[in-house]
Amino acid sequence: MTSRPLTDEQKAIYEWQMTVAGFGQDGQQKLANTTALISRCGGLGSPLAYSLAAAGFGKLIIAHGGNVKHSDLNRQILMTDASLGTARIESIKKKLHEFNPRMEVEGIASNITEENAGELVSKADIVFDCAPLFTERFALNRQCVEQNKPMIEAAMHSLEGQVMTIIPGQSACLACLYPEDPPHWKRQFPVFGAVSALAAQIAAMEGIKVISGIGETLAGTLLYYDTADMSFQKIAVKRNPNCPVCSNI
Amino acid sequence: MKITINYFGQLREAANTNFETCDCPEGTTIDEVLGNAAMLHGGKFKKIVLDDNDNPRGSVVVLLNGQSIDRENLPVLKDNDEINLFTAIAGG
Repeated sequence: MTSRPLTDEQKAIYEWQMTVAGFGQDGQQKLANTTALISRCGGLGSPLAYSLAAAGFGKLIIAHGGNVKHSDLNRQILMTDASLGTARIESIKKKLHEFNPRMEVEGIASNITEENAGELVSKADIVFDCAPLFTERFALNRQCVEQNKPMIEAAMHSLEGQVMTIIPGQSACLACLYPEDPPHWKRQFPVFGAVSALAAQIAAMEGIKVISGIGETLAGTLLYYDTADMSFQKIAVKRNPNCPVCSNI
Repeated sequence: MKITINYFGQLREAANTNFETCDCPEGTTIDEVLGNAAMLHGGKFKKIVLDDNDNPRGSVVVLLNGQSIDRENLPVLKDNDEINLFTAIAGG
């Protein structure tokens, strides 16, 4: 990534977080020089994008197709009532620009596919997987492993959520965790916006840690939470030596 | 021997419990424990855990004492082992 020094304005905006132990101006500069790819900007991706924008990431590439529907509005906080019926990606770009006009946003008005995953991953330093379909998630995982890009995996269902960080060659990838496309998974499922936003915030912190080098990431660890009883568990996930995606690296 | 199974996510809902403990004879395999649980809970639980040939689905994540297992080389269960079971979920 190209290294650009922080401007005085950036130093003023990020003053509070730059005092976090071990982060400092160096960490902020790393975020400012980072391009993140977000696959889908819905219940997970919307709050995630907001937090990456707040943290000072330099550029977001966001892939999200379709138009805003009423059923988006319980969790997709970058969609607004006024944007109903219009392209989701336009609402996303508008809201993010209002919040942080210094951050570059490249909007892709389609979801991740086998065809576009390679090119989009190649343009990013880090990838956030927030898609609802496993075909998209597996395509992204394959490309991240192939191109050696870190991927933050976030998911939710009903009152539960999961987050795992994937460092290719070092920790379990998505295919190590899920060897096959889950037959029971449905495109539409029960969830509260706050449950997906919680996974998004954890994923955002994982991204900040991976890029800045602070803390201990969830590489090789699945964080599982259940807001029904507010329990959080860390579950170790080992690499699969027979994984068809990552076992050869 | 005593084996504890912890359920997460949709399996917790389908089994209507967070965990259960079963008494199993020595030599019981993880797949047999899953099969027994599927027969016990039936319905949605069985559909999620077993395929049409009653073999455990790869989409069900099985962790033994907190560690993922090698399906090609299933470990032998021991007394007081703990199995974590959950299913794949995604975003949206």
